[in-house]
Amino acid sequence: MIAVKNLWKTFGAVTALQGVDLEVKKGEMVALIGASGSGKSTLMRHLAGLTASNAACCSVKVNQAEIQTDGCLNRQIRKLRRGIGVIFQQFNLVGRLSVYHNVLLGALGRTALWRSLLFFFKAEDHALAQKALLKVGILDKMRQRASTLSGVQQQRAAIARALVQKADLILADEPIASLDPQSSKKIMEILRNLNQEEAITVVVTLHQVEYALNYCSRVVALKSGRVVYDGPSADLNSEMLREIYEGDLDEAQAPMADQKTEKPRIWRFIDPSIQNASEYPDASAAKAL
Amino acid sequence: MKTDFKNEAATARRKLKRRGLWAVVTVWLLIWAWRGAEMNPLGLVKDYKNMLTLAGDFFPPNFHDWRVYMQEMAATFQIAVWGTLLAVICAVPLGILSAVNMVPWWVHQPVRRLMDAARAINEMIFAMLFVVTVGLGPFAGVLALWVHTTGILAKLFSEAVEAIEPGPVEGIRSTGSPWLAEVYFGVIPQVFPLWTSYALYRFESNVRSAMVLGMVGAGGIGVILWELIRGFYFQETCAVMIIIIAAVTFFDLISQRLRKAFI
Repeated sequence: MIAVKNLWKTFGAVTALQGVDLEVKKGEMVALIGASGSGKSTLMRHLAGLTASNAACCSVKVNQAEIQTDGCLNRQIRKLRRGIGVIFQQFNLVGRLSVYHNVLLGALGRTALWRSLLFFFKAEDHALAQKALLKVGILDKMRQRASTLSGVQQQRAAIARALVQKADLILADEPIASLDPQSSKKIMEILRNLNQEEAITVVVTLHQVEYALNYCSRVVALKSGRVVYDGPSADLNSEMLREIYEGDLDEAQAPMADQKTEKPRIWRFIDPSIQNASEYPDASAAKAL
Repeated sequence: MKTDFKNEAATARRKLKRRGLWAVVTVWLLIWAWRGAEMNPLGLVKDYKNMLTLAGDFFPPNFHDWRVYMQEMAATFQIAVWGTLLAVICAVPLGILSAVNMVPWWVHQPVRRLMDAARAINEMIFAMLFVVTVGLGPFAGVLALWVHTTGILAKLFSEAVEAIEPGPVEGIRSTGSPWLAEVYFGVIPQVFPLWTSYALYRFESNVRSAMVLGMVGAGGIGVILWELIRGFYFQETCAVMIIIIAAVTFFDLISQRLRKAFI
């Protein structure tokens, strides 16, 4: 399904991806984890063909089609994107259009231009849109403007859009990072359902490790743009997690987030030169993990 | 980290000096412009009798030919409607083609320069040119407003496009949509309220501009106004002015309503 070979990406002086290799088979559900700035979102954007690498000898293949080779997007990239549904952290719906129209827009890739510009989609796409809305559970909200929906409902609509797209691969880039725990679970359950019932391959980047462990059988961990772990989620232990999240204390707390431990927010304001754990109980809690 | 107070004081002094310099430059500019513009506020006071006589000549307004005035006012409105509409139609694609975040530089730079040219030259001058090419009459006025307003609206439209959220556009792009559909669904809904507001505002000012266009022979109420003032028919001038004020107020109210409906 996905084959990434030796992917490099630099933003100015910062190297975001350093020779990433990744293979994902059809029907897998893979979590991509890593600290902030580890390059997981960048990798996702490369998979979706939204960003081009800037190095030679890179190759990203999805469905046997070259999304990009040697830093150049495929000339047919707009066609290739049809097969890849992307879910974003900020939902990326068109706020002024209704939920239903937003979901219908998933069919843009296979609809003639005059039809889409007149909002004259085919009957089968209308049926598909309604089925998708039912599947994600917001059929009753279909006439509302997308911007009036709550975060979790907008994310559901975004998933429905990917379904109307008939994508057999869904790339979810931090789909739950701006949602509360209850909503996060709902979204992850929907994604798992799609993976198991519709046999859609799902790659999801996650901020919080425990969701990766609970919902995905395979975990790929990135650190400073390199793959540092790739294997079953069951084999991950806290030693490895600490290694992965080294230097990112907020993230390291994540495996315990289910118990609703207070994050040591004060830690950020402490001058590094006066790090004295005994004086700052919060800080010592953070170190303990 | 230790704060360097000495340094702070020096910076403050430097800032004060710079501000002082700017103040001197500003005052000099104002004096220079005063002389150039031959400003003479005393003239207002000294010649107040002239003013009073002139003002007196305006009253009572003479509405004897009101049918003609209303007809010409309608023509003015008609010129503004078509001038603005054609400009909006052209400014939509040109505005997108001159937005930095939509097209590469070798597209938006030339388009922008072209729009600069359309904007830099006043509609009166365009009207004079078009009178030569298509002859005297309202059509020359329409063409003049069209070209000038296209330049203005394309710039305003492109600025709105440059301020959009990239997220929704990317959402559309990821569905594999063609470029035009991406703009149509990702960009236009975001800029629509602002575009409507700009277009309506330009319509209001085009009604005002169309009144003046008549003076160079491009139709509308300006022709009559010009003739009346030149012939010292001040009571009739007054009547025309009252009609103009009423019309402008009327259009302002209507476009305010429309703007609210679209946002």
